Amino acid sequence: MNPNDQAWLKNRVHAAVDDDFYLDRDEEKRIKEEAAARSITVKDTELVLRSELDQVGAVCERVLLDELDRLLHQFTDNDKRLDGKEERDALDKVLTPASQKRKGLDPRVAEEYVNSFCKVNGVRRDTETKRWVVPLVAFAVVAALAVFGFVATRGEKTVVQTKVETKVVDSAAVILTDKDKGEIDDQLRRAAQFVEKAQYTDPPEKSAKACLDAIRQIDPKGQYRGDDVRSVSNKIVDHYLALADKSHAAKDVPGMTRWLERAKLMGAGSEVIREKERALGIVGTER
Amino acid sequence: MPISLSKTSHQATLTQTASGGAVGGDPVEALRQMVAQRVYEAYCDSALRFELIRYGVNDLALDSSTAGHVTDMELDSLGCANETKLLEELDGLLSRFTDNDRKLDQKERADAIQIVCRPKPGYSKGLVFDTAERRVVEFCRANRVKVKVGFLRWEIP
Repeated sequence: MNPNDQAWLKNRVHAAVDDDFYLDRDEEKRIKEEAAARSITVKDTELVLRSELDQVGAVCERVLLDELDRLLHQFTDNDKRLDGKEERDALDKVLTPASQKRKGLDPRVAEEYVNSFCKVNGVRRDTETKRWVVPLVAFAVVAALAVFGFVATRGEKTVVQTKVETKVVDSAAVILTDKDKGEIDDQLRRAAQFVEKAQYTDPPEKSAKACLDAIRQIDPKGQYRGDDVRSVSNKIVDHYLALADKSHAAKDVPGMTRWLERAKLMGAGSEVIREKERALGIVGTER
Repeated sequence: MPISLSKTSHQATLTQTASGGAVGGDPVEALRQMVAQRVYEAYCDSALRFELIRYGVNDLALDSSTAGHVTDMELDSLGCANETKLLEELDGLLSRFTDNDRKLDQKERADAIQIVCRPKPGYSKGLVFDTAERRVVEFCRANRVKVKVGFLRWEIP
């Protein structure tokens, strides 16, 4: 290559790259065509191009695209899939200016190349498929929030509040039916009749005690007419205690003991009976 | 023709070729021919490339960058693997993969090695695998990059 051609070629390359330090494919093609028209060999042209690009720190788009192509092939040849990290690595590698270079590959050119590469080679590009996933997810979230808000505003009247109440339940309590209550009424009435006849405990089957025992079996806790039942029992106990007093006055100790024992059979007024026993000296004599 | 005994036989060959007058006084063409003669098995290691450039500078009076460009271009046109360029490319890839996290996982390592070891289109050879492996280890040690060892452990190799 004669010195004139060499000077012209250097000047031509500088004119192409001095503005942006970037030799795109069209510029390179035109320079090579013009050099060929001047009978400059391809090798000489290539040599001057490389030298001048290195000298000014400019980059050649074609070389960077070749590098991008190799990276994309490496990342996608096996699985036909370009994931986010692979794409990022490949693009960063060519977009970031190399050492002693002032520029990297044009991002628009890189994006177009990656796009066409994926289409030509049947490569699935994750970032492309996820591009519509993000708006879709955002839409789904907004829709869910809207539905939730709608339900929350409409559901104010039908809000179900769970109220925990602590209720002490007596395990010994029984549920009395109407039949049970009728039976209690009947037994209580008969007990009153036996009391009038002074049939408190004897005979055992036809006495006030038998009626009261029947009532206690039906309603052990005295839920229904318990006061009436206790009133009848206390009335009988009082009568027995009065009889015991009479026996005591008559110095009839066996009689006194018998009345007190019968009073105990009624199952009521136990404290009163014990007091009476003490008063009459029966407890003391037993001890 | 006097031949200095202090030179290696390889340098002697270079000197003989340069003085043989086969290139008609064009130093660039002379260097191209030398590259074509010296490189064999389509692979130019770093030492040979360095010798060729030194030959261009010392014996052909080329400046170092031009000698380097001529050598690289001739290797490209011959379809010969250029070890120096491939190692630079490997360094660039490793830097790209490890700049963020200082870790080189198995896939990144395999990708980097395969990119440089697999022959490019128009070439019959890529970087020698052992050389690439050694370079990866050297890179990791120089830049404190960790590689996975065992199941969950990361260590500088």
